[in-house]
Amino acid sequence: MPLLVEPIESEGALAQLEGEWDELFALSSPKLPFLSPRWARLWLEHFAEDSAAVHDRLSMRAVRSTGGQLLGLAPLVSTERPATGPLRVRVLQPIGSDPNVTEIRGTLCRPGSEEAVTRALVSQLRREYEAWDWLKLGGLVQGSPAHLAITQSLAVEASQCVPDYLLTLPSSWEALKEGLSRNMKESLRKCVNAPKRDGVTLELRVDSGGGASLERFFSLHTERASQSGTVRHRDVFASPQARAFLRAYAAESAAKNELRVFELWSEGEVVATRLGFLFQDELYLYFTGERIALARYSVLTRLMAEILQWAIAERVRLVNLSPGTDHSKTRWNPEPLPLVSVVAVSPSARGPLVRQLYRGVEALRTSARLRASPLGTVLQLASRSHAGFDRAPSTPVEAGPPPDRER
Amino acid sequence: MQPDFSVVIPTHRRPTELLEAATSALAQKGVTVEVVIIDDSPERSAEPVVERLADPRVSYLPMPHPSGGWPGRVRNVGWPRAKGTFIHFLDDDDLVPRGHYAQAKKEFAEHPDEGVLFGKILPFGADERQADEEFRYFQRASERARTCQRLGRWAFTARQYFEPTLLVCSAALIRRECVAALGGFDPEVRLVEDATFFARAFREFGVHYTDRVTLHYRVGPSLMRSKYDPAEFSHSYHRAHVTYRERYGELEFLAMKALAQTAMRAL
Repeated sequence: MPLLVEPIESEGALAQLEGEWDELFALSSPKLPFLSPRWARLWLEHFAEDSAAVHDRLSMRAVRSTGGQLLGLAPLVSTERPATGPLRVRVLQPIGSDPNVTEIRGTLCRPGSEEAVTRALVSQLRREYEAWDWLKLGGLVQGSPAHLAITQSLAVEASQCVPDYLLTLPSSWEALKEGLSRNMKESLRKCVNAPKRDGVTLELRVDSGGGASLERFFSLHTERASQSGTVRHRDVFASPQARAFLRAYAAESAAKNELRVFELWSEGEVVATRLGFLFQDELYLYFTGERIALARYSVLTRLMAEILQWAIAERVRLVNLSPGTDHSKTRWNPEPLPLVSVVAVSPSARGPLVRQLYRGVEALRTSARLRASPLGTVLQLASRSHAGFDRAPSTPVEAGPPPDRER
Repeated sequence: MQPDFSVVIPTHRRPTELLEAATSALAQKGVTVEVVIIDDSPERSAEPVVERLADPRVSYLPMPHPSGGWPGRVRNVGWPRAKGTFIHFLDDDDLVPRGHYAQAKKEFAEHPDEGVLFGKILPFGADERQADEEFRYFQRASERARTCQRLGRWAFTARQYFEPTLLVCSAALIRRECVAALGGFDPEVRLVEDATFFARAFREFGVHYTDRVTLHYRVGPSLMRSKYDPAEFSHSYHRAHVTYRERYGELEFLAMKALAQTAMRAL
């Protein structure tokens, strides 16, 4: 059965699609906030660039049955550097090329249609190969029919796998604890008993309105990133642009009752916080923040335990611990969902040349020895306005958040 | 009440595709639509589809005498019944993109002096190789149409008369009064009847090219399952050229031909 691949290239067309997109999103599982229509719209408002150096152009694709039913969506942008001219580099990539604010960039499919949607999408994108130099697609389950459909149809470069961790909740906290390792049970006891012994009270509060709690999150997230002598965490929301984006997304999520700011309070102040997005019976756990002074009490572990107890009480079925492997996630025994991102170079004459040139320049730019040289200074200056197409230079892949985020 | 769009669909033994084509037209939002289905099969293959659609906006017209593969003649039976401001001659296997008519209505209002509007054609179908070939053809056609859009009506006319066609029938919309003024399709042309019809329309009423998809074009057998016949193909264009000479004079004809074969080729 042939499928239609419809280009969505204007804000008007995007707005018209939002209702259908919401319906498709509601059918998906696991539900990723990054694949919601709100995320895409607000991302374009806050992150899309339109300068002489870089131009992002909406280049989404909607895949439909011939009867008109929406089966899949690929939220893509075409990024061109510089914005015009025959020597510009053109990359077709998922919406969300930012400093890790968007943790997973993928395609949304109606359950059961993943392979057909991907095949139709890839066929169409391959036909349009003269319009891009390379193509990035992410959020693919490794080894899935959709992943294979891409690798069979396009010349794909080696891809990296970053698992997303999904925790299916049992009916009680006790049942969850039963399945944990002895060390983990001990950690849980410790994060409850140690503060109690020192007379420190910790209390979970869940805010669904955002506003002040979101500002506290920014503050504690920054504080955590400034921590030295431990695993270094990036301040993902360091830029005003990223904060403005999250404020807007949180406000719209709150209006739909999908925002949850989990805060651990002690003596009138918040000592640990984590953002969550609640979609029906699924909870996506986003970034954290903590007061360094109380890190010795493992307040983030305590917060996580409190969140899971809250989720069980609220009959949440699935908790997404977010992508990236670290002990703070794996010790809860979640199921890893191996996600890959692929890069395919255009079969046009210029595609491989441009890709090689770009990789060469990137290698030079990141070369430590060269950085100190005059050429390195020039390259750094040239790329200052834009940290490459990924715009997440310190993470190895676009889906990969910094390791050991929670501990 | 006069609908905004009259969708005239000639059909011949393709009930499944017809249902999808008619549904894609009826699902257009923000405009009013009527669909006129003209059944060219002696066994009335479209009748169950019309019953299934059960939509008062749909009218059904079996050809009293099936044409035997002359789509222009079938369309000529349909369009006089159309009441819409604009007519869309939709083939029975093609699909109208979502939001197309609302956008087209706006674009016609912005270009009141143009009689025809068409845009990009996006092929789809089970035959990947054919879809690839068609995609390349229509990609090139879009580039050529964009050039014409900068140059005006004469460029469109020259290209449509003397170069490979810029469009297929379903990709364009035309004001109803223009169809009436042209007298519809040339009943003596069996192949490329759409290309020559729109060539006349471009010359007579002007055209606006819009850089968005105006048709999902299904690759596969043609509307009436006509086979490509080079002799008949040449005859169709020859007839169109003769008509052009008669109507607008030898001088204009030669000027158009020269334009197509010199400046337009260079562009």
